[in-house]
Amino acid sequence: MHCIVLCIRGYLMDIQLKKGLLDLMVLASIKYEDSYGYKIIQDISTIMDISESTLYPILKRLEKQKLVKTYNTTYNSRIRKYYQINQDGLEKLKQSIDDFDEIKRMYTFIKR
Amino acid sequence: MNKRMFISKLKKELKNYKKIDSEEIIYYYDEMIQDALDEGQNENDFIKSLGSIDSIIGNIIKDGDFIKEVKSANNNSLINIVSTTVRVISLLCYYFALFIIGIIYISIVIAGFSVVAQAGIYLAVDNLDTMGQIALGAVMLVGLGIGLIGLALIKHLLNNTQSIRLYIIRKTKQLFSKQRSQ
Repeated sequence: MHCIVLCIRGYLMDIQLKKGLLDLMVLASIKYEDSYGYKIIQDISTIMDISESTLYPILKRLEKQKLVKTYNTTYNSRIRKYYQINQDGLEKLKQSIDDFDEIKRMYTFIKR
Repeated sequence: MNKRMFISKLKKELKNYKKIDSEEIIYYYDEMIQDALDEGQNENDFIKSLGSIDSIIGNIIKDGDFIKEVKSANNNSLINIVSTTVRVISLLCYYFALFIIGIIYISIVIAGFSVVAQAGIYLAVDNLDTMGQIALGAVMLVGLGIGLIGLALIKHLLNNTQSIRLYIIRKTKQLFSKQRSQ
């Protein structure tokens, strides 16, 4: 029983870790300049594999959590939705770097 | 598949999911495809790379479930922060309420189906004229309806056990904190 609980927790943690990392990747991609769906994919896919269908829920979530702001502009006489990181989003990125330092220490410990 | 076909297919599929904000998703993919085309990508190839519509919707739902999962995990922790007394009393109330409601619903199902059975027996055993047979047939249908309503209620109850439990915990907690403040 205990083992099952641990397994489930491990599995959930795995998902959460991955989701968390993807969220951070998207935030990082708009850290310096506002961006739009297609470009975010292009930027991130140079580092990792991400599909259009994965990106949508992430953007939606970040918007819901009020880490990014969105606005529409016209481009080539059509509307394009831009994503802009806000103060909370920047805070979260900063926080993640501290977290990574801890994870790195844990990882070194696990790997030794 | 070109853009127009893809969008209309997506629109059609999304109609089956009321909880998803379909307009926004369609906008997202429309913009994405248009941007790719403006960058000089091949329309067919790009749309193929988007994956199947099933997997697109699947990803959205999966993520929704994930959010729900996290939420319910938070809700569950409610039981950890309340005191043991509140926990025991609320759980007792919960099982009692579930038991009572469950029995009521089960009795509705039994009542419904026994009407069907009774009418069926009459229909088979008694020598009835056409009018009587029609009347009994109608009674059977009514019984079937009642039985199905009962089954639906049971299903609904089983789907909502979590929220009932949380509701009772919350109420018990409120009751206790009120007593303490008096």
